[in-house]
Amino acid sequence: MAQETEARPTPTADIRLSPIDESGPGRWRRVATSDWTIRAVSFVVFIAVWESYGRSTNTVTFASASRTWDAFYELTTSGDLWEAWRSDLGIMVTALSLATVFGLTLGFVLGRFKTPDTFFEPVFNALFMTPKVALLPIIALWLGFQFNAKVVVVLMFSFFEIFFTVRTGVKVTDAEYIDVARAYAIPDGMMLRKVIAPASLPYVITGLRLGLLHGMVGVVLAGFFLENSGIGGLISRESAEYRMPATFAAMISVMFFGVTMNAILRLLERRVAPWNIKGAT
Amino acid sequence: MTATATPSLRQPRLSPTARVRLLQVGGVVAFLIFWQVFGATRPEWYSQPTRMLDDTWHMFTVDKVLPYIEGSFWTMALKSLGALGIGLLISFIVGVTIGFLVGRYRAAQVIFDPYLAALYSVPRVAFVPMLVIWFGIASKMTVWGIGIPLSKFVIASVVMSSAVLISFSTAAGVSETMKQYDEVATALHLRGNSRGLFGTARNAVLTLVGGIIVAVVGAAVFGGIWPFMFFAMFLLVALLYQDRRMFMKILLPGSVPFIATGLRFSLQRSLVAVIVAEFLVGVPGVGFIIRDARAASDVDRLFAMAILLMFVGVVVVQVTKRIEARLSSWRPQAFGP
Repeated sequence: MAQETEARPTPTADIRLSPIDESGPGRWRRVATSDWTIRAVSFVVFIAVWESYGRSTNTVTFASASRTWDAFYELTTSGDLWEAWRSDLGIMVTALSLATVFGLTLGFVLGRFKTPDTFFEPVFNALFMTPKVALLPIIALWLGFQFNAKVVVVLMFSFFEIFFTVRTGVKVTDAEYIDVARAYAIPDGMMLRKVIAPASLPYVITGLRLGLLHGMVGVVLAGFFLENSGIGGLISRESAEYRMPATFAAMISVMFFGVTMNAILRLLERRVAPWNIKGAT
Repeated sequence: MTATATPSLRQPRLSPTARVRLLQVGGVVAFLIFWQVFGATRPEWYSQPTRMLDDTWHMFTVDKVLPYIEGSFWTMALKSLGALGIGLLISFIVGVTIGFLVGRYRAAQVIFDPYLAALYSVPRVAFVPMLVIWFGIASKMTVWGIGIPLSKFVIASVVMSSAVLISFSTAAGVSETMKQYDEVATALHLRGNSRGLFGTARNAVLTLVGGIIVAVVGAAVFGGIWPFMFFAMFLLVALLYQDRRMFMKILLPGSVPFIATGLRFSLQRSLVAVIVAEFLVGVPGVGFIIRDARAASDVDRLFAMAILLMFVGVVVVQVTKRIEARLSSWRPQAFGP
């Protein structure tokens, strides 16, 4: 790979017939209308509108940008935010590892073998379709409100996403690949390692990303419905006492976390599978 | 020796489809039997399919399903469905408008994309406690003097959870349609004035005069920030109007399957949002029934509700999938999501 790129000079150098004039008015026009300038300006406008609206309206029900920033600083220095995220991250890591193990195993087995797949399909589909919040109170009754219950809640939210995406990936492995592998009389274990696993790798990554996104929903809801700890607990506590700046700050931390994780996993997805998987949201 | 006796040539006893059906039914039956037997060890703790059925029947027929609120199960279901419907309608209008703008105009895409992406990748149920503060928990709202027995807060939760999804898929559909039909639209003169709202002197004067009139009306009637809102709304309507042929003839038909898909995803999310909203603050509705069952540790009722909601989810998905298929059947080749 590396040798190939070294051997061929990049063609962009030759395409330019005349050097672009880097000075003059055109340059500033380009800078002024570039995407990032527009984004930066609109962001500043957004903050300004938020701040001015926050100052003109009732401070009990809304928080301006500056008060939110102060609250964010306070929550970070007092350690409340770290504490909330630490407990939630512990839950998410445990639950997502379990969901990955179960989801991958079941996804590969049921994607590969038709008979058990058909047998379990209706029940799994039904569980997938059930709004998971409806099962949350049952979990609370059976397992209580602590760590274990929360792990099961997050597991429930993320497992099905991983399982169904991986199963689809294994199922749609190109029949041609399998036929070729069969023609060479490749044993089953090798078929899994050398053919099916690489072919369904992009689906695995997508499944993990979806599992993480849904797991975040689960962890926030667990904070609302179960023990009032973690980030969901922080949000519900702060808002119950009408501390809007702190509520806003906690929510912004959720958004930041979600956007970062999504971006990282999308990058990974793009690296592993430059083509797009359709139907995965 | 007759050849018919060799096992390899014998017809399989079941056709492939019958075999699949049998396996699926077998799976469900096995699951139900397992639950029935396992649940018998501690029925009030693990529940059983039969107990659940009994409880569902009881819930459907009893006049007063909650101990301290009037109304049967159907009243509660109607309240939840009403909030769901109105919330979805609002999300649909907001989502499709934003989706159209973002998909059609590059500037709108550049400006709004980061915020939409941020809202998309975040658990939007986290906003529910804040919506309580903004919209109150009253389960009755007044619109133009007419009292409606629905909660503004529940409706807002639905909009929060689903508008972004609809706008995302609409934007995807519009930009996909633009890619395919842009040249055709230009050739048929379906594009709006390419100079936009401020491009020519006439347009700029019309836009500004119209906008200022609308803003003055807004200031006279409502005051506060409304003049600005009215001005922005006027710009939006003018933009859509000058590009109306493009929207109506090309973009709307082209993005219908995408919008339908967005609607399907958001229906599932909205169902969750309604339950969470009603459960968390105790607004009368289906979520409240779950809350009550939770408080009473009534496992049968909890499972009955979960399975009912599952059926609702399945029906919703199947119906919207049908609609999606029908709406996109005219396409020469399906490029839907």
